[in-house]
Amino acid sequence: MTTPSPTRPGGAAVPRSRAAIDAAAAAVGLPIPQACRSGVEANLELLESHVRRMRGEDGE
Amino acid sequence: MTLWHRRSACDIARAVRAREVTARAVLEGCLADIEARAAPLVAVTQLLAERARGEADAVDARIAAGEDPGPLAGVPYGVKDLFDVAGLPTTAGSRVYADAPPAPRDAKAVARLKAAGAVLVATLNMDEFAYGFATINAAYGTTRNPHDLARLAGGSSGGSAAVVAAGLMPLALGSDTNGSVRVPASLTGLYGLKPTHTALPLDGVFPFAESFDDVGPFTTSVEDMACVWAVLRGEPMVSETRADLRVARLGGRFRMNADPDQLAAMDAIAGEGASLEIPEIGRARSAAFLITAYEGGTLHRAALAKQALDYDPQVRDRLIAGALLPEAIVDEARAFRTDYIARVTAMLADTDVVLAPATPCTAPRIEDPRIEIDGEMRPARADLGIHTQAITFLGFPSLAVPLKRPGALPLGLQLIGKPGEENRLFALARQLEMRGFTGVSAPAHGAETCEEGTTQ
Repeated sequence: MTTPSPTRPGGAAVPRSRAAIDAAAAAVGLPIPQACRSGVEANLELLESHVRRMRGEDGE
Repeated sequence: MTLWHRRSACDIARAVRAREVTARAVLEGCLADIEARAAPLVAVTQLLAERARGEADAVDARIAAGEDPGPLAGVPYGVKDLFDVAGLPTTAGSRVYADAPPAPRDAKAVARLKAAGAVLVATLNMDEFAYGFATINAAYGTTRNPHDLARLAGGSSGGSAAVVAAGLMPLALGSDTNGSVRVPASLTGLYGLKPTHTALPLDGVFPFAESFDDVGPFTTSVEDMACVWAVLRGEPMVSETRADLRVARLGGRFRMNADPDQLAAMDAIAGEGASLEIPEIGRARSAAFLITAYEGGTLHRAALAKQALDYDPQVRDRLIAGALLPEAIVDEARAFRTDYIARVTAMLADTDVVLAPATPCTAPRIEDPRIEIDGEMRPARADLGIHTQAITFLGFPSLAVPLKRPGALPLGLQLIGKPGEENRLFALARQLEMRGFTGVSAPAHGAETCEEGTTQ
């Protein structure tokens, strides 16, 4: 597919580090209970993989 | 027991209107069958016997008065737990809303079915807040597949699919955001419709991701689907019977994760028709995944901040992650969508209906709810919609139809059309039904299977 895509490699990033996650949570007023943290981190990893694929960084 | 409720919706309505049977008699048979066989399915969350008797008696009273109660006269049906039902809290499958104030009125779709003579019998199980393809619900249990109680029914409208597939009622309403009607329809062997986005009324339906949310029915025949479609649209039924539909099949990624029976059926149905490869389908699915995560997370952000621990843990963690997505990423996904729809619409200019698998496989086992995607084992809860989510992204209508394969676990195809052209999907589905490609098969061990089921 050669049509230019409106997605942007190198655009905004999914928060992945503990500090980035805490900052994103604070920004939207959503405290993350300890019981949720590992599940949230796993889901953010999944979302990051979808961002890569959407941007065509996974080779499609 | 009288088994009128196991017939098609159109058959029941014809008989009730012709005074061959009363709506009340149809209902009592349905209620007795639910009492006898429904429990092992973990599909019914609330039986509405009193309301149903009132509605059935009202239908019979209209007939006695010489009036026509409508095209769904006396047809028992159920609704996914996210439709407003007057006087009940709308739980959306969650403990969080179990004590919510009762809905002041029925959802518009429910009101339209009632006005057509249908009788609401039960509310039905779902993935919490519709976030899943499995109907694994921490509060209300895992819904089981009537064709094999050890397997998932699919989701998120799994309760709706299970009661229809089990023959407990001929019609149920679900909702389809990314495949939540088409996936369970495929796994339980039913017809299930994702309409053109927003073509059916969403008033009184608990939202999930507004960019993609739609109401969708489950039925056991194309005739029933076309009738219910017309009722829900508030329009007269149109019976399109075109024989010259231009049919193509999707190739590429849609053929990489599919059952050989699905591929053989697609090839046989499309015949000399084109094999199309929609470009960048993986990118489209991922963009849909991101928009869904963001919209779902944002919708629940305030409630999560107050009572996150009351949510189903798996749903909760997905929603929180979605709420943390930067809006700039979602803006990218939405821009990609606009561009993508334009490109695919142009590509399909000479095609009426496109064929694709509805699910990549048959129903997974509950004890190991994973499926193989691209050679890797993935969670069914997130990935059963691999073939439906990309179609959702386009906003096009898609009708899941059951391949005719008695004795085997059900599997479905999607018939995908252009916006507003649902009647062409019904026309092709009628042809496929007549040619023997598709049709509903009763659970292999008969309708009594559910009585022999395992426990929750």
